[in-house]
Amino acid sequence: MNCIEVNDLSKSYGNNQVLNKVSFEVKEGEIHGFLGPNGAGKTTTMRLITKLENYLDGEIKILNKDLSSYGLELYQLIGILQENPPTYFDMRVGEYLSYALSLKKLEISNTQAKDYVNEALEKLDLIDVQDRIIGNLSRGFKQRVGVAQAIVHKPKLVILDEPTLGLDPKVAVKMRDLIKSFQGEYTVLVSSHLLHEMSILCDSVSIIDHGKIVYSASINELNSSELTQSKIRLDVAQGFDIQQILKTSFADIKVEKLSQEGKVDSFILDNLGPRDIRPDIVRALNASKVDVYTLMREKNTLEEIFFKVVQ
Amino acid sequence: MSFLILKKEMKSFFQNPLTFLIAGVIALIAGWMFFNLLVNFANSIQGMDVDQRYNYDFLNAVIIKFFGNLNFLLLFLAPILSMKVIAEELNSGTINLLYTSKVTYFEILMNKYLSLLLQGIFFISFSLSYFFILGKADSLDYGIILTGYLGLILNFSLYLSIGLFASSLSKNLMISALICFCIIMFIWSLTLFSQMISNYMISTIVKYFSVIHHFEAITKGRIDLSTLCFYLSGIFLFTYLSSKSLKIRAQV
Repeated sequence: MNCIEVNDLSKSYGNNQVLNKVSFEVKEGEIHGFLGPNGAGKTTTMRLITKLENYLDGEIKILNKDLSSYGLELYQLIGILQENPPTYFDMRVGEYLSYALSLKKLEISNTQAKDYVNEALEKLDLIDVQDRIIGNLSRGFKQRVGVAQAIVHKPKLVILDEPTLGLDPKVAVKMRDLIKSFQGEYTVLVSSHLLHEMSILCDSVSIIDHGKIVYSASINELNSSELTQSKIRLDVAQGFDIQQILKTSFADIKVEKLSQEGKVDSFILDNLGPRDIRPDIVRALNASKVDVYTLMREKNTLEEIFFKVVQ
Repeated sequence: MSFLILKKEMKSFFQNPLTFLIAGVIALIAGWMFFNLLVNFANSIQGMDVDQRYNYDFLNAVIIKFFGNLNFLLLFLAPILSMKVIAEELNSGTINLLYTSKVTYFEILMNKYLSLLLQGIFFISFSLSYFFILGKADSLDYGIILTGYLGLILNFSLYLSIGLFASSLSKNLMISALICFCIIMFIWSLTLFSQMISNYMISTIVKYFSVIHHFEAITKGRIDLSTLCFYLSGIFLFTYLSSKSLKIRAQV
């Protein structure tokens, strides 16, 4: 079942069209990465999905129900972390989470409410700081408090807008691992412009640029698509016409000489197609008695894919 | 309607040490005002014979003047109290927590408004002690004191609804306070304007919108429907404008 379904969503501010027929879907239980450069329309899409802004054109469905049919009960189903975590700096962590939970007005007892808060504290590793004033915490902890606020009421859908923005690499990795642990438990829509991070974190991705979805697929589909066609790094002994040898066996292959170090020539082989042809290359090189030092497959990173589709 | 936001606001109000500092300063200023009025009154009746003393109006000379002075104090207290109530939430982004919770704009505003009102009542409640002490010394007309406080609360309610609106207009606390102060000053000065207008009808209309005109009537014990209408419609108007402003801001 789809948790989010967005069809032909458009949004303009005056003459400035920020979203142009955006369509994508997020399946229940998966982590979906929403990628795009700054100003591409990620935050606007998220604000529309969370009903913080109105839209005129298109359709948004949350859990197979049209967004317009939801009232305020929508916020019991979704948890949101906006770009800047909305935390009261004079409150204590536990107190803040209790407050955020109470605002959702779930029909739960006080004991259950305490359990909900404790669970969120545990999940985000905040037990030790639950009595500390939020304003005195580091940026990383504040961000974790923000995520805890988004999941404290056990929503079905969690929307995280740039959750690792401004965090140092160590804290960012910790945050990424925490979000990864939500897999299967919540449906997560996470936006970021950090492509490497998304490739590790997500089950599926949508890439948005200038208000248009330029690519949308699961990570598996992405891995088997032409976009992720791998390259091969080849180091061989000098004195062979590698281009000629490989061209005779593989007509479409693109051979590019990288460097020459000592008695070793380095090449990058591109345009290889989806099939793994490494054994064939080794056979072809052996047949020509070429000494092979290195033969290594290098997959296109999400970053390279991003630039490919955005171009 | 739930009072979750009100509870949270009051808790953070009483947890803030500044609250007690402000309360102390207000009590000090109000006490000084009250003391001065009493001393002036005592000086005035010196040298009067018994009959003159008996006829000298203590209510007008001390009680009503004191309420007037307190009202002047509220003119500054209202912008200071209300400036951060929404502006700070807008500035820090915490307003988004409220927007994405199961609370309506009405609930947000009512909770914020009631918290401001309770805070204001807390600050002026110290002045009750002066009347308590005075009551021990002589018999007092508690009806006038009651209407005096009613006038103060109604005035403060109006000022705070203006403050709420001003706070929803800007993320900047100082700008919010300034807008609030200017609007209150404007409705204060309408009494002056009305005196400058020669046309009776226009002058009466302008006077009706002056907060001083209604406040003076209440402190003298005259509470009529038009006065209540003035305050209630004023509070409703500014709360409505605040809700419109909040809705527009949510969409930006």
